[in-house]
Amino acid sequence: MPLIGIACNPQSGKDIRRLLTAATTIDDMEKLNILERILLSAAAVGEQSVCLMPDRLGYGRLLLQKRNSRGYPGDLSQLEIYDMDRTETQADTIFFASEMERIGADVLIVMGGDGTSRAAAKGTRRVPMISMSTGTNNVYPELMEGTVAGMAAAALAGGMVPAAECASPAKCIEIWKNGTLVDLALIDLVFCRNPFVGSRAIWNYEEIDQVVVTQCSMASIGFSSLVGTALRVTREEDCGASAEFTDGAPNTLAPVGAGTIQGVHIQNVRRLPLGERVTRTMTYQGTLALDGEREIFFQPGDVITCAVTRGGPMRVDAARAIEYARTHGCFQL
Amino acid sequence: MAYSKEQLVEMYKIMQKARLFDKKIATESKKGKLVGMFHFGTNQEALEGGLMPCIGPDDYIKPYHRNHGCLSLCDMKLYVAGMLERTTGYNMGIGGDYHQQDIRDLHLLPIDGLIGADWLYDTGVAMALKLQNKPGVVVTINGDGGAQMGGLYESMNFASLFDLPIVYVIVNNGVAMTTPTEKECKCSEISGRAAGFNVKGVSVWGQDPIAIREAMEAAMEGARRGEPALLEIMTYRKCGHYFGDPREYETPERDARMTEKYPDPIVRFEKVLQEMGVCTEEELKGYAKEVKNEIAEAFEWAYQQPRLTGNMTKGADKIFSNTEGGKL
Repeated sequence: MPLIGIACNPQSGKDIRRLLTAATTIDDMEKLNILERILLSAAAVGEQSVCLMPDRLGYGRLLLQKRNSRGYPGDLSQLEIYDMDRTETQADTIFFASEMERIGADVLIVMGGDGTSRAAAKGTRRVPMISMSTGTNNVYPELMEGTVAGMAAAALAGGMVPAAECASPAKCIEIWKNGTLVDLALIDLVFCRNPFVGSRAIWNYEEIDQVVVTQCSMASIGFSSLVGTALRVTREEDCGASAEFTDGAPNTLAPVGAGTIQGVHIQNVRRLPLGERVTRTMTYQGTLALDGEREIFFQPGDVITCAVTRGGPMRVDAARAIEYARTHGCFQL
Repeated sequence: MAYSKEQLVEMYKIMQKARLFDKKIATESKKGKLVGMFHFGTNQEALEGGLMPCIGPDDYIKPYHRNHGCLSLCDMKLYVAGMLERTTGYNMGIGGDYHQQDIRDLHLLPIDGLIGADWLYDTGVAMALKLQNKPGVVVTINGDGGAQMGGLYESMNFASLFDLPIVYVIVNNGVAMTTPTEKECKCSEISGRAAGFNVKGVSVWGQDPIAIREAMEAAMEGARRGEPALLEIMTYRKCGHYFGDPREYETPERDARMTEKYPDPIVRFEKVLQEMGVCTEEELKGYAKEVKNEIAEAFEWAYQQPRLTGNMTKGADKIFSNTEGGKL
């Protein structure tokens, strides 16, 4: 039986940036609706099992209640809630993704922002992953209709589309602290002058020292767009980029956050070939922000190294998967 | 935003004040020196550590019954005397622990015995500030149980409609009296409800005073512009509903999971301060001792004060009167 895993982050789209900017709020009801659309469309395309990551609210439990209610017209028979201990932290997403790899899931759907996809990538880099945006600054996940994600997942899991036709290894930034590999980021790594992890988000852009990205474009928001003000790197190109920021007179406008366009002073912009290591011996106390969230504290004297590689998860192009299935007659009745 | 050593130490001392005050109450109760029901906020102290420094002289705050860290606003001796029913304490000792208030001097709004009712009163204070064209923001706190009361939703609607300077704070500590949060509402975070009133709502991990302070500063800034906000502090209460509650409703499995997710905020903050080189272990011990001594002195002083007698509590002159200058 084809198997689809779904990790839905209940906390994505709810952080402090709602207070600071006009960022989108994705509430529980909307996430539940998206999940339902994924399940219904996947069931319509083929037969499969679906494992849903458990969470505090119990999206799975609510969907099962719906399924069991009298007169419910849809088919949610494929749904199971994966049996695992919950920590209600990002460790759940990491563990669930690794479990999906272990039990042989054909595809993993991840609902959240850049940070959620990053957590899933730490769990598996083999299972093809469809990343759907329900977060704040979303560069890695796509803003995608749940119906479309369900169709693509079902087509891929059901063997209508070979994974090689629509999935490829994504880029990531591998990060070492004092010689030890400590973490990875999928889109951006920020050297931040704020030494506190605190509420994780960065909104004081004067605190940004350097940004390393796997891809960048000015037609997005967040830290990758800061580098995107100087050059464009697509997700397909075999390189990343780096730029430094100072408190000098702003030399460009940048879409730094939801509804926030701000002048910044950018300098020393350059492309980074895959595998090239960037090493810095830190001279101040600060934090490394990974995919938009302050995560790792560093001290003066700490040596931080990073490199853009193709070591990220298997990223699925959902539109390409559906198009492949269509052109091969998979949806014909 | 980075904070100075002075600011960080202030936050640490407020957290210690919250915990050590609760401990002192427990000790005195065991000696039989205190009567009444006391509610502790064990493991929630980062809330006060992050929130209290954001309260300016023009602002008003309504704590809830587990907020002894809000004592940082008060004269500790007068508070304890009030709690011990001494006539020289706040409110002539009539308020007890739960219901102390000092609207005029401390901008400390009264806590209602009916949990969840004071969302409405405090929204009224915010309305008054706006009508009188006064600066200041009202901060009103309740738990996740209080957040299930209809008053919050009427209040948010009203605050949104009239652009009131108010921040609603929900301390979601995982249990409302004896009911786990997951059995009282069908939301992973209560803050999501704010959007229905066109109010900005966010959830913040409640074990880090820095995270709370950052969110609170942003919420206060918006509220000063007339954008009310809802801040949900996600934490876990490591004590009973009241002092003496055996917590039979809490399973060991859930307790272990919640404890891992919400570790001791004071121990955690101490580690951060030491790792960053802000304070040494000795310095931190010194600050904790300083707070402990302040609490002990306040109790010693209060015990010497004259007791409230039955007759003194009677009479219409004990009603708060604005025309009498806001005095009892």
